[in-house]
Amino acid sequence: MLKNRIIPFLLFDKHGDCVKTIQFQERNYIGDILNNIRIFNEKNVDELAIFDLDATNIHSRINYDLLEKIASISRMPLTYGGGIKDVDTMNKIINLGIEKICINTSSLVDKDIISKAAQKLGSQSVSVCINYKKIGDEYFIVDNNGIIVDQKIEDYLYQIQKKGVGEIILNSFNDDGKMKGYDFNFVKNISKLISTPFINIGGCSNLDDIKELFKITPYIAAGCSSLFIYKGVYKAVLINYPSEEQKKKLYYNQNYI
Amino acid sequence: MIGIIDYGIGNVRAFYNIYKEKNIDLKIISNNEDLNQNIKKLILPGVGSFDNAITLLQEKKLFKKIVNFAKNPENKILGICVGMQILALQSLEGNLNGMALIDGKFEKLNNKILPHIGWNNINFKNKINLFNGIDQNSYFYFLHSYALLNLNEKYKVCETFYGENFVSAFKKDNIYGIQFHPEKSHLLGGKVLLNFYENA
Repeated sequence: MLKNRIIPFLLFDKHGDCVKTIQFQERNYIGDILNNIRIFNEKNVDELAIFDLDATNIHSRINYDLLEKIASISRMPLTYGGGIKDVDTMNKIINLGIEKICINTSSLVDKDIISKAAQKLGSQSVSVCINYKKIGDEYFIVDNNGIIVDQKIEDYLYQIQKKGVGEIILNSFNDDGKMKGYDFNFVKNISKLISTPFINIGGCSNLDDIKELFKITPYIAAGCSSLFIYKGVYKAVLINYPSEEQKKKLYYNQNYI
Repeated sequence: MIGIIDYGIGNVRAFYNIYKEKNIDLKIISNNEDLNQNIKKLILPGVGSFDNAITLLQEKKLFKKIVNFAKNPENKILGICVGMQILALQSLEGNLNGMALIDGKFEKLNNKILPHIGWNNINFKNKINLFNGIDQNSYFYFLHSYALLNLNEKYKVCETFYGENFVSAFKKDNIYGIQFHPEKSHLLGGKVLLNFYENA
């Protein structure tokens, strides 16, 4: 039986340093990325997602050397996002040994990149990230700077699934770095429109939040950033991850062995 | 000697590092001359789509060479994920023909949510040396939409359930295939790879 996944998200900058943001802004340094990945290796992490925050910038480029190093030391499946604009780039990164590539197509003119990528790489390697922002009672898609994109979430979900996306990452702008819990209502409603595995990230404050998220569907994965990076009220940097025993208590279906 | 096919897709470096930690020299085979008589065991990895993988193997003139390698019963070959699919007759994901080293074709899994992504357990049908030290119901990492649904029972090593049962590992004589990713399945995955070197 398939298990829900618990996925640490690591953001890094153009120097290869890990950072943590709050509402996509304000960066805190949290150590060398290779070092952090070695620690996650030891903790039998389900999967790891890594995002280059600077690669999207026109003056920056994708750090292939770093990605190659990351892929060769990582004992867990990887998703990479940042600066992806075409299928050749995606192919190149897959060939470095990274399983899944995440694109944020809301900022791209050519949305056919999804169907082209699915054809060449297979759907299972193509993820799309949707940043969502709550304003009043309404939800909007926003770009990486939090600016609203003129596109309804429902329509967008329908389109990307039709084009063959393999996994959807829902990233909450409001909750990023806040550690005040996931937006469960949003996830519950939106999950009915999704027929691929998906990840929700933003706001996770403790293991109970993950447990609550897993009740929604066995196909959802919990993305966490702050929770697995910080420890204590003063937010000291300490890489951590639940043990096998702790994880077992989080699955809604208790039949896991 | 053990070799791994490097044809532009698949995580060759991760395999290399796993073997290196055990002081085992894994030879990386990136053209058809590298696949020489010193190689007795061969890993065919794969990520991506079926046709793309086969096209790349053909471009590197490795496709027929691998088939010939596998036809020598003293050699052993292990196909992983798309590498496993290539060993079969065909996959409905693509239009090209596989190596036909095992009877069977890959079909789209019948589950409302696809792809099959994540950690799932294996259920042994005929346990073999490749799984020495690995318990029934152990979890491995899967990432695919197409799977081998029908196969002669005697070749099935284990099955996994995702909407329906599919073959997550097979063995026919010297031909081995596994659907999950051992290189990304932590310690148990490493054990499978070590077993292929030591016990297969």
